[in-house]
Amino acid sequence: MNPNLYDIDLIQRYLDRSLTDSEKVSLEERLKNEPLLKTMYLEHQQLIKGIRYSYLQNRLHQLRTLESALPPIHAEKKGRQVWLVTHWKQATAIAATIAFFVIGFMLWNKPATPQELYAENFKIYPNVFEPITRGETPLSKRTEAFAAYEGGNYAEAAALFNHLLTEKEEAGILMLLGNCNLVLGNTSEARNQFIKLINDFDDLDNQAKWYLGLSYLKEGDAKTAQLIFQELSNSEYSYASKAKQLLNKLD
Amino acid sequence: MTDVELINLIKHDDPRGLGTVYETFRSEFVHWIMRIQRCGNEDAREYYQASIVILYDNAKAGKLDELRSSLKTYLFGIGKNLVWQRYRTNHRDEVVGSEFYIKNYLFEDGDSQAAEEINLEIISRCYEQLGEPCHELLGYYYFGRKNMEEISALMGYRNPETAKNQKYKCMERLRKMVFGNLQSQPAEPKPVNEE
Repeated sequence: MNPNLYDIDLIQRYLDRSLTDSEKVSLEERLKNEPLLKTMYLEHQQLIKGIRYSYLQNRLHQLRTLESALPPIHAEKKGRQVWLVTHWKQATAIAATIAFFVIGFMLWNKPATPQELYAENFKIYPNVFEPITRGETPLSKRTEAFAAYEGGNYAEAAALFNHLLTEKEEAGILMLLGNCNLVLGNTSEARNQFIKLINDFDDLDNQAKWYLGLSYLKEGDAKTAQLIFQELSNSEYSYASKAKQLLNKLD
Repeated sequence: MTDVELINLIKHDDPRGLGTVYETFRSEFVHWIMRIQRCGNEDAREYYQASIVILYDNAKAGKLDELRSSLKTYLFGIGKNLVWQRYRTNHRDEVVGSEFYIKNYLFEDGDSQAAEEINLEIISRCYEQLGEPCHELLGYYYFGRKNMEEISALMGYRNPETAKNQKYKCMERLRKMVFGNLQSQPAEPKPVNEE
């Protein structure tokens, strides 16, 4: 065996804690006395950490993409209540100002139409399922589909996702295809995909309900949308606050 | 979904697992950090994202296979460790990105060199430029924690020994790219042929 390969193998097994006691003692002794081996050991350790860091960075990137699609996190109620008690004068002034603007707004503005609420709230669901990484060449239909989605080519992505679904039904693909169809104006097709997600899969239920509600808004059916958002607002997930905000506007 | 089901999804890189965990505990965790750290929303979200990434790494390493507490307690425990880690550094009064916590996490096992001394970004960049089959092989071994038998089956090598030789070559290529070019641009990747 190549002497370097032998030493690297020893180092790797040392890091994996799979050396025998005698091999371990012998390697530790060599590390003390052989500077070249010590350097090789430190470099090897650094490279491993760099590889792991690369993977963790990719996951972090995916989480940031997901975060950008979620509603903002508001301050806690408890803190607000304490502030109201201790700053009642400012609170009264702020409340009066808000009331002034709200009344003014109601007097001078018509309520938003369902379609306007759709446009205000629709944000394409991010591809958190199979993100296309830098330098990746689209080789398969699958990769092409996700790349088209990320690139905003929704017609192309929809055709490819439809093809993929004939081979295997997957929750993530249904979610993205539903989004493509919403963008393309195929609302009833999009609705079928979201309903299928809710009925046949255990995950992405809340996300599917959100987009299902939006699909009704897009068609001007505020009543059905309201029912869906009502159900969503009772859940514990972050879509609940988004749904409550929308319900307030629909009332 | 139960904690066990979620951990299983995370371990198998099913994005529904990490996505569900992220959305479920997000608001509570961020409010908790804002309260105990007296920090802003943005700073608290960096803590949260780093905690989720660390939870993911631990799940991949099998450390959550026999979890005795709930997933939520475990996640908040990671957050608490990050808070202490932050107290021990000189970054108490500024917003730091999740990368800061992740680097410290990678070096928390008593390494002689501090995280700041080693340019993980350069190694990471060289690794991304390494090309195939090295990128995939090293990923399977060091991140997917697969053994040589599994790798040889997955990548179609004749036997585990061939896969091991290939891994050695790939590490050598990466080492040359990183340490030979640390001061300049990383070298262009060359294809590595299987022997």
